[in-house]
Amino acid sequence: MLRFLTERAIGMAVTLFLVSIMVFVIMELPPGDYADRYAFRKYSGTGLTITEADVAAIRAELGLDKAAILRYFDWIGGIILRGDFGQAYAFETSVNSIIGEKAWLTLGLLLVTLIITYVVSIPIGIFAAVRRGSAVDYGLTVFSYLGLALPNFLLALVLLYFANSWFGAAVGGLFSAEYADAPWSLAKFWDLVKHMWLPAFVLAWSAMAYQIQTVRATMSDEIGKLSVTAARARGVPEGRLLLKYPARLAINPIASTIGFDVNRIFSELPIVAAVLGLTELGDLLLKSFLDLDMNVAGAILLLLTVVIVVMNFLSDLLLAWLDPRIRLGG
Amino acid sequence: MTTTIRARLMLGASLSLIAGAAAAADCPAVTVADMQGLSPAFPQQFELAELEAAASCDLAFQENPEIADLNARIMGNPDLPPVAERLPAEPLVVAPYAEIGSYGGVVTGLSRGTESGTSDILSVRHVNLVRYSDDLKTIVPNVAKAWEWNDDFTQLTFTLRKGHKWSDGAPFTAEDVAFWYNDIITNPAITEKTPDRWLFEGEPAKVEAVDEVTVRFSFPAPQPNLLNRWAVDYGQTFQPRHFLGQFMDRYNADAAALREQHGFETEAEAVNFYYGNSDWKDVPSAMMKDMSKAEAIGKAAVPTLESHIVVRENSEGRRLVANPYFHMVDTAGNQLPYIPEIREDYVPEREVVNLRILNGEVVWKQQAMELNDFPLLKENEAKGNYTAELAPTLGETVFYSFNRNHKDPVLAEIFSDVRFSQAMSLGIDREEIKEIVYLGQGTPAQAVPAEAATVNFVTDEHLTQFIEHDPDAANALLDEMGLTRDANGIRQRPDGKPLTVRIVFASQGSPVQLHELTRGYWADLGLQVDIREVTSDEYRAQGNGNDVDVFIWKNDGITGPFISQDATMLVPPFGDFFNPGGGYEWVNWMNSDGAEGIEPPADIKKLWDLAEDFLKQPLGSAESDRIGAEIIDIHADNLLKIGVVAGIPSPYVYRNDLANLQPLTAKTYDFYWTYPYRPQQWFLKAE
Amino acid sequence: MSATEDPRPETRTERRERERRERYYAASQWTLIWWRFRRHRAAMVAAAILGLMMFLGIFAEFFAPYGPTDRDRTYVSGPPQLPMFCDHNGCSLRPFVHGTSTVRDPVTLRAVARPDPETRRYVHFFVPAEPTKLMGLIPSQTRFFGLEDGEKLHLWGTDTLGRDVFSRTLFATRTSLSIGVLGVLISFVLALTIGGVAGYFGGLIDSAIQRVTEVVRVIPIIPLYMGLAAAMPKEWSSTQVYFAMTLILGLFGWPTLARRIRSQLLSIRGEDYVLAAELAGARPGRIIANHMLPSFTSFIIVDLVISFPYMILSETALSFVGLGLRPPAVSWGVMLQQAQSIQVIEQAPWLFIPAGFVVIAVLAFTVVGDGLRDAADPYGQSG
Repeated sequence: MLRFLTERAIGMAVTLFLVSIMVFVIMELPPGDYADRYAFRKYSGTGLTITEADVAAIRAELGLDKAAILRYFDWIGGIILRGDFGQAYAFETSVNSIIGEKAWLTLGLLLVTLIITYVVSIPIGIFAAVRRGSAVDYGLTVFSYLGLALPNFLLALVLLYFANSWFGAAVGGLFSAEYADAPWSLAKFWDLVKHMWLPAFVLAWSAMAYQIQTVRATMSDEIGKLSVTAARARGVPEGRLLLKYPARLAINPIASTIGFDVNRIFSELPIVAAVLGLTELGDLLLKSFLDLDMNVAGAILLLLTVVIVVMNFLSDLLLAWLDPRIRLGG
Repeated sequence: MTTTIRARLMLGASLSLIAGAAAAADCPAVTVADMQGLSPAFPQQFELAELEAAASCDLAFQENPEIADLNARIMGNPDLPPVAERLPAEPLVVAPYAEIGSYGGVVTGLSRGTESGTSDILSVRHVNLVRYSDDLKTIVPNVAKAWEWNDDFTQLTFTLRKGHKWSDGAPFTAEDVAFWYNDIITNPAITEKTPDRWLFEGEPAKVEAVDEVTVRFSFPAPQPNLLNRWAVDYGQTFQPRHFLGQFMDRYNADAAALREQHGFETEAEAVNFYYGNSDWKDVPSAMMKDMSKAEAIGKAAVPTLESHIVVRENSEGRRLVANPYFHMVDTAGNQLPYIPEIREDYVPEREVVNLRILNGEVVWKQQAMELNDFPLLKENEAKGNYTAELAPTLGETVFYSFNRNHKDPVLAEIFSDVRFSQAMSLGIDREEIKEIVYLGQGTPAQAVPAEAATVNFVTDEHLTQFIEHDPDAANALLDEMGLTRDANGIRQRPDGKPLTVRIVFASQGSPVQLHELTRGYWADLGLQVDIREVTSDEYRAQGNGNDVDVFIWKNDGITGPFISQDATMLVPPFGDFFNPGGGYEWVNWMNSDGAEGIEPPADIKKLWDLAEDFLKQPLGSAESDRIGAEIIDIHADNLLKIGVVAGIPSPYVYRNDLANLQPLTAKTYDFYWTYPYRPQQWFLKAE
Repeated sequence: MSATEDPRPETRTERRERERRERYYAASQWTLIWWRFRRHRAAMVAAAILGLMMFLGIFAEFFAPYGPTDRDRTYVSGPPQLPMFCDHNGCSLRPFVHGTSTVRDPVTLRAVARPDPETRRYVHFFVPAEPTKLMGLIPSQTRFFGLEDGEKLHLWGTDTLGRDVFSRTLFATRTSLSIGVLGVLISFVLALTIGGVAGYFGGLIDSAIQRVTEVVRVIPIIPLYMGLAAAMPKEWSSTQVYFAMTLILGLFGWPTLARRIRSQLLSIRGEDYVLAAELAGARPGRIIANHMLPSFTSFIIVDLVISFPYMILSETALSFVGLGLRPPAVSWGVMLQQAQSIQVIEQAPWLFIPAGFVVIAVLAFTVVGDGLRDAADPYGQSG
């Protein structure tokens, strides 16, 4: 187990390094850089014409004229050594101060979504597998797939509209005005919950579809296995039978994908956030991407990918603990 | 003109002396609805002395009972003196539209983000030296009590209000106006390049503080229309010397130590931490940049003369509270503004904006409201307890302006041929656009850089040439240009490539349906047309970078008061940063005296001289009209901007409890949105 | 020998039974799967639905009464028109719709289409129309149905520009299904190769591939697409963008499946039959394909089926943020993006019809996948 642990830890470090390069590449992908935007912003409303030289000067000032490899090391060096993600150009402040509290809100939203996803999908998946081919099974399948099939942005808007006109649900944002600046309290937390259920529900619904189907498929595979048939023949009660053999194994594929569920959920987040007017990292990512404010985009991407990599690492450990074959074979 | 104004003021002052001596009755609570027989020198407002004299009364002042709490929220403000000491000795007395208001409530507004769609709420708190009255014809005093031109319009003298104070209680004087011009915008140590619009024939003006309340601008050339700028402009032509000056060696012997203490390397860095490089008040504030530094310095935002001051700002929105030193009172002596708080939320998604309006969560919103949404907003009025109205706009057709300085020389040549623009114009079915995109409203028209209702020199001919839908004529023109069609019906460029035009647009500037229709019309003429929606920022970056095939935005900034003092729209690049119009290589050629860029055609070259002359003539004079007509002719002959449908009404919404709101004469940025309608006297009526 | 022992001629039933068994024993794995699949009624229905969708999509030029960008300016934002056989003036064998007129509400400025119950417009089949090319190849001048005299029938109403929703949906079906199918195919091949290699060989190769897979997987997909889409040359036409998007979706869709294939391979790597095959000298490719993959074909199928909606949804999501397909290309995503407003929810809900297509397509793929999964299960009931 120790060897397995070390191996995975080294693997994770290598992945993190590669990820940082990949994130940097993504930051570099869109044509142009912030220097143009900055130039126009700086001279906006002044009636000045901006020359190439002005832009070049700003580019040098922002350090965007250096070779990509140097900028990579500046960037990653600042993050590792000083925890400094650089300058958020569009906001004229540091990335850290922009991201700050939003990172926690985002993490909270992701966690809530994950919990909803698993709490709902595992039992339903098992249930559907046991009742395969029945009306209940298809009903559940249709329900779970609706979440997946309806594009999230549409789902978000339609749910927002109806939640609002039927229950007077709060519109947009994560906090009401009176709590946005208030210190944390029970009332503020409740306010957050009132705002968060809708996006969490939208995000979880589509993630659920995937998990329900995975649990259902694995369970079906396992139920048909001879070991289960044999146990049934021995007279093991049906409920215990399910939990003892197939259900345990059916958790495997789920455990192996926690990190990627986070990824999937976050992938949807910017779009849902845009529709619902949430002010968290997903929305900020989308905005900064469109603004070419690449330090902000890069910081968010990097933070998120680190979370995912670490989660994957943990899920590998979990998996190895659940299924000895992997840790011995790996 | 000059003499009459002065005479009236003198009369007012002397009368008040007499009245004060005679009796001290309460002043009548005059409103615009019921002027009680009074007729002030300027519509809807009085100087204090003028009112007291006219009604032989004595105005006592009251304040918002919550003002001390509000003041406590303004970082760095000391405790308040009584209201009479906070007001100028000569406050501006405002007649409310319908009734004397009451204090309290919050105006909620929405914009898209920092520096995006914010001018709506900015205009609610805005002040400047002067203002346009709601007739959009009369300039009236505001921060300045009076003004005076010399005979040849080279010298403009403003008289300020005695005892006027900044929002932190420090005196506001003529020095603060001179400081803004001499020490900030024309000081290369602070502002690298002075904005062109504050240079006159390339020369700076001379700005001097004659005494505490008198400031004089001397111009190198006549500027008969320049007063308009102080009436319609977003900028603030005064900055607090007592505050920003402390970072400058010239005004503070210990400035270097102060800068070092707060980690500023240069004067510019320190000043711009608050001033933000621009008169545009919407740049990220010190709070956004570095709250802890702002706290160390002791002020979250630069002191202001506006009705409200920002007390909190982050990437999600702004909170503002009333300025306790604001210089206006109502006719009952209540210090304005009535509304103590403004909350502005950034909501980039249009549907969330609509939903919030439908929910009755928005007290005021007019900018970036599309006619398309009007049926939805109107049908849900009762449910959300708000009102949706339509206001006329001034001109403001969407324009398509082909990039004649395109980086691709082949396209540049095609686009420079006026027949191409003519053909594209003839290909557009404006009646269909009017029906489908604009709900049957508006009038098909071309885009010229002057709004016909505000100037005398725009003719029907200018507005109606090439606006009929005539694809045959369009095709004939394109054929004549030698743009032949291939087997699939796509026209070929001279180099054999298919003729492709990319329509890149931002929905803030023009509706998406319009472009889908236009795409179809131009595709019918044999062009390959691709449309792409981008953010306003991205469009502006591409446009200003000369990276677009067609410039597309609203044709604004073209009313008489605007163009008569600011030639931006008349000469290349036919627009500004926010609304670029093309011709960047021509500009380069002019700026470099022919060393760089592309030489403009002869008639375009003439525009610069014509525009310079145009600014020197009083708007409406025969000479002004003659030059104006010549400029418009050149624009029209070249069909620089292809217009679509003009005179489209535009929606605005307000919650039903918002009172003293005047129906908008026109909804336009050109008069700075709400500024003419005096939002300081708005109030929220308890239900 | 057996013939002499049992000289009695086979009865017909016996012969059928024997032939059936012979066919069964001689049948390839895929034939067996097909046989079992055929008995899965829901899956057959779903497959038929998918087939129909594809058919309608492929021959959109014939089934759609109008082109995807044709506008009817007399019927803008008009509600669906359902053909009927009877009205208050009596019945007719030929279905008809009522004529309409559009009136603008003077207060709200909303254009409202009002049917005129006195006029009838009859629906005809195989009507002559503007010449088009089926699948862009075969010239045709006939449409499946339409009205006479240039009047227009809008089965599912029109959008804000007066374009026929029914016609556009058919064209969109073609675009979206093809993106999904191509994308899934590309990622399937990649996943199989990469996952197979990693899972079979293990060790260093596996570690290296694992790292790469992990990096590709941990990057959130949408931002990655955004970067790639933003890097696409601006002058690309919508057709080029279409192919580029398919490629991108395919290129980054593989890691989930690859990782699953790998971990499954790893977990059965030590099984006796794999060892036996190795000892028998079988090559790795053969062992993977013939011995190992079949044991979890069901997984692969579920994953494939499930990645299909992700392809389509990625397309819609990208189109939504303005980085995907652009008009005049028409896909489900493009159509739904235009339906993205409160105004549509309240006043023109028929613009959501394409969402129904997305849901039905996704569900149909699931049910088909389910059927395939049962059919491919080697432990499932035989015969």
